[in-house]
Amino acid sequence: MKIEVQNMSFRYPGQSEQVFDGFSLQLEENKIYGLLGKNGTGKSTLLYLIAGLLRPKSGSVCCDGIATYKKQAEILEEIFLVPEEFDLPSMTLRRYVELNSQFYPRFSQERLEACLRDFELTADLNLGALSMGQKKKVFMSFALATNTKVLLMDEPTNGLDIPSKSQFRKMVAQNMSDDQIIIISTHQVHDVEALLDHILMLNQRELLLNASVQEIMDKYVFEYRQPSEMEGVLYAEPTLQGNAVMAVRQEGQAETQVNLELLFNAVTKGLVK
Amino acid sequence: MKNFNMTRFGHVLKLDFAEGRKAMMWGALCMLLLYLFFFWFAYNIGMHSYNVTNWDSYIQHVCESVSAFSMIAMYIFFLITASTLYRGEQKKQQRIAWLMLPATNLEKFLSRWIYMLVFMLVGGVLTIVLADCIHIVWLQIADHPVHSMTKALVHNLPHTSQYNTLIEIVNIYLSFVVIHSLFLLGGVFFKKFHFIATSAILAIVFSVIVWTINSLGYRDTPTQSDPTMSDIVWMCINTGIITVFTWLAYWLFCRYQVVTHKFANI
Repeated sequence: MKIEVQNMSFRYPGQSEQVFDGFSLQLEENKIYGLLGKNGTGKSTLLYLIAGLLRPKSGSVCCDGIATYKKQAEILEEIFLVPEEFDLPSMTLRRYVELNSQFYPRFSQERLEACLRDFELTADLNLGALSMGQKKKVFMSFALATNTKVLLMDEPTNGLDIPSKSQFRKMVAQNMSDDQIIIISTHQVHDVEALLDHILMLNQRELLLNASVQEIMDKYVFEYRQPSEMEGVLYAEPTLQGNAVMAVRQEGQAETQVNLELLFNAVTKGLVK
Repeated sequence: MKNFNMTRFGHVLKLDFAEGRKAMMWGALCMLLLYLFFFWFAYNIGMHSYNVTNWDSYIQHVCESVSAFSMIAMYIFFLITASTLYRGEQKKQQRIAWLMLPATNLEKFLSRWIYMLVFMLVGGVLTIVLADCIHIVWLQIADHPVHSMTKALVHNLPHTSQYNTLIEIVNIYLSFVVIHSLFLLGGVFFKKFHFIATSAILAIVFSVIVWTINSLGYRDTPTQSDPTMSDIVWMCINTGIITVFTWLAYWLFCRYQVVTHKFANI
């Protein structure tokens, strides 16, 4: 499956300001995309446009060549969206799964049970009696069990406790398949840093950065340095351990893990293109 | 047909009924209490207003009054049911869940329509029969002459007689369906206050039509034209309006988006 956004423009009905203007993007399978951006830059809107919940004013958003806004059943059964906030009906989880799993041809009951187990939940739950965090765990377990080719997650770690955040990372990594595209939109960059293959950074109407994690690691290093070692530094932030810096990687220098917070700040300040 | 898969449609229907079961039960309970209230009210008001000597005709009179009120209440219930067809999707979260459900727009729309039909039958019609059964049991316990409200209601429904031809009766029922389909359209069009907003629009449109007719100096005078022909024309117009309203409702539904700040779904 391939997602193609071509020259897409969008503004909310009744509002004069464009959210996207001539926006283009291509997403390929077997990748976990991190969608980052400041508040109000259109991250959730982009997810909704990909899911077909919004209709572009011009241009197109297609999944395998089919415009998603048409909401064709064959496309919908391959896209699952985990919104930031959601409602679950007041019924048992078993009943919920029984009613909803039939819509997803590759739904895996075993995977659902494994995910629930990882989150320390059982299948005998009453959805109406769960806390928001528990609901999120249940819904994400269900999302992963649907095994759809496109999985869109809007702030998936919001409301999760600390152990659940690492469980979440583990579950996504374990259940990711080669033909899948996962897009995670988040402000909690540290929660998903280790998961991502590709970074997309949005600013008003445009894509500030569209690069794979490997490309970023090839070009830059992220480390702590003392004030006396600031040569070649593109961006730095003072911390208790010294300066957290993003610098151009020199030949022969070892790869470092991407610090998304530094990268984000450097990109939004225009220091990195 | 690519747009319709029977198995998937069955799943959507099952989901709609499972999620709407509580709403249906509450709706039916409210209507049952309303019908019972009508009977209690008519029976007690009558007792205070008249010196009851003939119990048989008094109970019959009560049943006839209650059937008239119940019929009006039932029709309003039908309109409310139609206009609240997508009330569950008023909230963004619920709308996302509904729109992301892997089924075609036609399957989702049709499933809701069938749910509405069953809701109308259960909440509006079955509860009348149930309320009537309760009345009858109570009348027997109170040692009153037994009369059925349902029987009076059925008798009051428009039906063919020496004064009304079949086509006239069909037209009467079709005009009810026209109003119903307008409320269905209002239910899809408006995001909030569906029933009130649609009623307001209906009142405005109706007033404009009446005012236009009056200002044109039109008077309903007997004409020489064939009455059956005019009935057929009206039947075609009514059927056309129902089709257009229902199609518009479906068309609007297909264009549903997750936009929260607007009052209408456009």
